[in-house]
Amino acid sequence: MQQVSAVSNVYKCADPETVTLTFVAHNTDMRITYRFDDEDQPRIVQGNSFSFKRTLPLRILRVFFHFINESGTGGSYDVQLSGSNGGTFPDPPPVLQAGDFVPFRRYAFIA
Amino acid sequence: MRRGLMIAFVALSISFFAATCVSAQESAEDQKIEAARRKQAELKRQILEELEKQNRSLEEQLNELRKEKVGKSPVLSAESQVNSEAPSSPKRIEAAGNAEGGLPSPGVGNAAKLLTPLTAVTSTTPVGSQTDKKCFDPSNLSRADQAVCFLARNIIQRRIAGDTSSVIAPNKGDETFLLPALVGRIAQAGQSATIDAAVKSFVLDVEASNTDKQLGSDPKSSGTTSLGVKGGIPSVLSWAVENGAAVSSRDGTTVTFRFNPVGISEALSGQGFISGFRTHEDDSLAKFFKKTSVGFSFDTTRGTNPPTLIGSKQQLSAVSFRYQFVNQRDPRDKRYKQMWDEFFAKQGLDFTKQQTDQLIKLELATAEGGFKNATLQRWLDETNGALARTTIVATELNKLDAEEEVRKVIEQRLSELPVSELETDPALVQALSDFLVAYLPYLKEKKRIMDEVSKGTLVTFEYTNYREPNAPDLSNLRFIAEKGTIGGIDITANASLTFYNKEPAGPNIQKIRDFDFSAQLDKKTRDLMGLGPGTLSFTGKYQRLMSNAVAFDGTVLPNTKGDIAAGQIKFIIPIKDSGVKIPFSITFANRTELVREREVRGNFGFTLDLDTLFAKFKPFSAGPR
Repeated sequence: MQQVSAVSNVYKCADPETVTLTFVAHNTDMRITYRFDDEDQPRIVQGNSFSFKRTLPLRILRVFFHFINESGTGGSYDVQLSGSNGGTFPDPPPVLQAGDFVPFRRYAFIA
Repeated sequence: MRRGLMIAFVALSISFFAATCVSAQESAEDQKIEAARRKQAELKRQILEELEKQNRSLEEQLNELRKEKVGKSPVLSAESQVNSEAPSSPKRIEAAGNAEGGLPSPGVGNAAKLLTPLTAVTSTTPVGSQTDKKCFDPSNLSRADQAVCFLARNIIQRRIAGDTSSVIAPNKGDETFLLPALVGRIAQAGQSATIDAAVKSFVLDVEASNTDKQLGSDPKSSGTTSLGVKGGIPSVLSWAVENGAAVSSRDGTTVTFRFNPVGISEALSGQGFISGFRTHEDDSLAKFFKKTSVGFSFDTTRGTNPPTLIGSKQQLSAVSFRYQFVNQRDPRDKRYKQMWDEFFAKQGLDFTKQQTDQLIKLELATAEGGFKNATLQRWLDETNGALARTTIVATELNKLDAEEEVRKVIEQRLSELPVSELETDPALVQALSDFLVAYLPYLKEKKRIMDEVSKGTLVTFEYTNYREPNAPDLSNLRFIAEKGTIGGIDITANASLTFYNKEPAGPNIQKIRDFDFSAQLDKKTRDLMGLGPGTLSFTGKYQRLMSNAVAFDGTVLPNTKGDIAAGQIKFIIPIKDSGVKIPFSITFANRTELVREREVRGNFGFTLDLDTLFAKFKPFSAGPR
């Protein structure tokens, strides 16, 4: 997997290639949900990572970061992407807790 | 002893009855206040809408007049171009957001290429009306304003990290905050009826943004003048000054410093509040010490220059150690796992689906994304052009200033949002509104669970060593249990045993000096004159002196063995979000430790919870993670 644009979170994958997103939670329960634009139903991340196979020419993924912690203490998530054919890309900076907003990031995977 | 028990029971019953009455009365008053608040918020919104409408109409007239004048005067032509929203001749600039190769980013790469003249940002600005560093305390802002603050924080965070996306980067999480800020602006300035009233309230009302404030209690202050002791542990440092005495026979001023060893070492080593959490959360030893606190109390009446605190060994009157071995108020406790699992299986997924549905409607289905609505995308590009020209170099040291500069630019650009043009696209406004509608059931259910969590039990053990200059030193073992109950009333029970470190000589003197039990009810009150919610407490205490008391000069006082019963009413006034609290209390007792006479005493104090300030000033460190 190659990073095409860090600013736009665009990654180029081989065909087929398995992409894995790994998360590290700080001062929060690990509670992450995600949905692909080409799928109807969202899912919950089980454990600290999830993988998928890029098959379509373009897959858009949206990842939502939820925070469960003691009021006022603040939490964050580190995100890292990796491809089964090689390439590991941290996605800094960490996703920070922001009041009761639910931050999300958008990732695009192209062929 | 029986008489003492009776008095303590009566004091506690009166306290409970009074607390219940206050609770019931408050409930009715709460409803009235809430209704008045809603009415006021609606009135404010109507006034704002009306003023914005008038302002927009004036702006349109002004633009018309300018256009007419431009046609007539070539001198004014340049000014007109400067003030127009779309630059007539975009210039290319080398912005950080454009430095990266590859695909252009939505509203980042494009924006960096489009340069509106700087005067367009600095002219006709309402920013001057904002107070400096508005984002210092986001909890006092509406969600729309909070969103702008968090957007500025994200941008500065990336700049500090040396990230290439130094302007608004929707795909990097900025869209989370950009969309509520846009809805807030449209709701304020627009005429669209598409935006749901609940969404308007969600983004514009300050009160609606404060759901978090009522969660749990803040038990971090305690002092020698309190009858009951709360079991809180500071994350870093708390500081209390209390004047008077509860049932001791000596008045005075006690200054208590209580600190958390892990928190203080992180603070001194330059780690931030949240970075600190990161380093110890997986370390079991650090985890243990995080639940502890050490306290030092200084009696300012001692020493050569009373009542000045000099922190000398002579003034050191007590050293204490606390360990909180039960904390059910952490929402991550395993007992709440099932509730959260169910919450995310329902509300979490519904939220994700609804927000994603709206994002698909709003964005281009391309790799880099971007808004489908050309007007909105142009506005974002121009905003990013303005942000790329902010001059401050963001560092850990000046990040608040840097965030403020970025926030002002965003606020300015929001005031220039072409609202009426955007409103011609009802699908856009509907999608923006629906994006925020997703928050309503999500946050409602989350608050319900957090309210449950705030009723959890806290159990703390405390050991205190009391140092007397002329009398024998004492040790005190105390168990403190707290539990939330219905109506937001917190109940705290104490059981303690005090013994002499070295048994003093004299008749009727035992190694165990006394034991006591106390119960305290706390109820948070409404916001007081904008200072924040206060806390009203009622406490009943029974103490049994097992032997005659030893006076401060070391002499044994005859006939002082016996029971002490006391009741206390205490009111703690907070100074909003400063970490400062001022407790006032009145204590009634059948006697004091040394004098067998009835007593009524007044106490006041001053406590400072540095956790509040520390979290605000330095939430993150620049250090390695």
